[in-house]
Amino acid sequence: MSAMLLPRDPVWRWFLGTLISVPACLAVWWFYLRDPLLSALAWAVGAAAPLLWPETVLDLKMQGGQAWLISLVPTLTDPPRLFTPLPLPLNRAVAVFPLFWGFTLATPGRGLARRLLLGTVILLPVAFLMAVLTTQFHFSLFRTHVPALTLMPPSHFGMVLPDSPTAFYLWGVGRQLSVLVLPIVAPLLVWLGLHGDFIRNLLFARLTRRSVDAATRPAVTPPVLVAVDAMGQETVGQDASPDDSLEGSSSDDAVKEDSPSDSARQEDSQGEGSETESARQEDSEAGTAGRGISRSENVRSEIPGTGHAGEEYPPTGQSSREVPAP
Amino acid sequence: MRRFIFTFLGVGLLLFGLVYLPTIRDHLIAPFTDSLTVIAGWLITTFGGQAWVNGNVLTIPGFSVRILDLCNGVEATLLLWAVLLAYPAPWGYRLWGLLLGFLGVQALNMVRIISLTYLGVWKPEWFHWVHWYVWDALIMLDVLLIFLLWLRRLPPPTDERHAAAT
Repeated sequence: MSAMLLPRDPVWRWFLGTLISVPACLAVWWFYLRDPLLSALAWAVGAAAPLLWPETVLDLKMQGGQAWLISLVPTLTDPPRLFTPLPLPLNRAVAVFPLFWGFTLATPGRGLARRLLLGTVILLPVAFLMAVLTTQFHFSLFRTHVPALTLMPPSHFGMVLPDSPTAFYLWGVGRQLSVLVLPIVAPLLVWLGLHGDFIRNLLFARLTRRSVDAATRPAVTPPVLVAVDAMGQETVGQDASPDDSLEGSSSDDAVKEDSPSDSARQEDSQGEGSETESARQEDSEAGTAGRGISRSENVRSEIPGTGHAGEEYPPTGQSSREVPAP
Repeated sequence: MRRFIFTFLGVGLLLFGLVYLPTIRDHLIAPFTDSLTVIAGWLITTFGGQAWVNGNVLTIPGFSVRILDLCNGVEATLLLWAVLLAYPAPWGYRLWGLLLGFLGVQALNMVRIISLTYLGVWKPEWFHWVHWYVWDALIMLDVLLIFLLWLRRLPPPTDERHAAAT
């Protein structure tokens, strides 16, 4: 019953799966994994801070899920403060992980644990970079003391030279990218990078169709023709030309060309030909979801007159059948 | 594929760099955000609710929201535009994609704004999580969905464009 409700199109199936898995991963992350990830990231930024901002940062502490940066920049207050705690939002930096997990869980294929682990490891420096960019902008805001984007500087001035307008703008762009854009784009890019076969076969099939066709096109692939003679007997031959068939026919509908799915099925049943093998290898790499599309493309490419991808075959009015996966 | 990814990154950085210029923010993004607030307030009152709009602040009985970056859907729209501009396609299809993609993202974003406003009344403790994470992911999926639908509407690629893409 549940299989009937699922869409047949693998792209839509993936999309619906993502709609379920992403909120689920976000919930698990929020309730169970957020605090450990935040602590780890705060520890990493705190460890790198003396190298990145040696005269500005004293320490970075976590308190109740909130990271606090202890700044060494004295403030223009009476009496002057030697240390200034600056709130540092790091939630967005660690939100890249559940999004990536959600995408990956919805993607068919083998090695799920390996893909999850590898993607998480790749995203670790991205999250660190986001935290560093956010921290840098907060320092810049504190030093320059000019409202920027949607943020207001602290009420007290830091006793330090402000950043130049260009540097302030660039740090602002960095902050926007790290808080607003990278949390969305980074998991998507890592997911794209780790699921090349799925992407190529389903989402970006148009972009890469030529290379797929070239890789799977056999050297010589004449069409399979069936000639029906006057007695109604069928003659099947791979090297039969249409003219030859016409000579043996006695009526207008005596010659008929196999539909692409028929010829492909024959090849599949015989289990011969490099084209079939290469397509099968590609199918196994792409996973179950990619089979239909890559098989259809192979079939299209071997029919004369339908050489370029996307042309409808058989022509309008004839039924097109899906090639069964081997 | 590689060319597409690099073009996407380049166009994206260019668009975001432009949008965050103070002049563009003051004269284009801020009025646009205000107009979104007005539309959200109008929609709420049209469907029988009570709403007040002041600049980019939308108020309903019991809760107020200020519409800022990300909430105005600009980032999502720019992401979609960067993808559409980077993908090899005829310019006519690109322009339709840019226009309809913008409308698609903003339509869902309007649902986001209004739903979050009412969520603030109903379950204020959920607001932060839903606002920053759930709706963020849903908007991103919306961008992806629009891109996939656009891909399916594209004409068959010619050999020249194939060659350019690969």
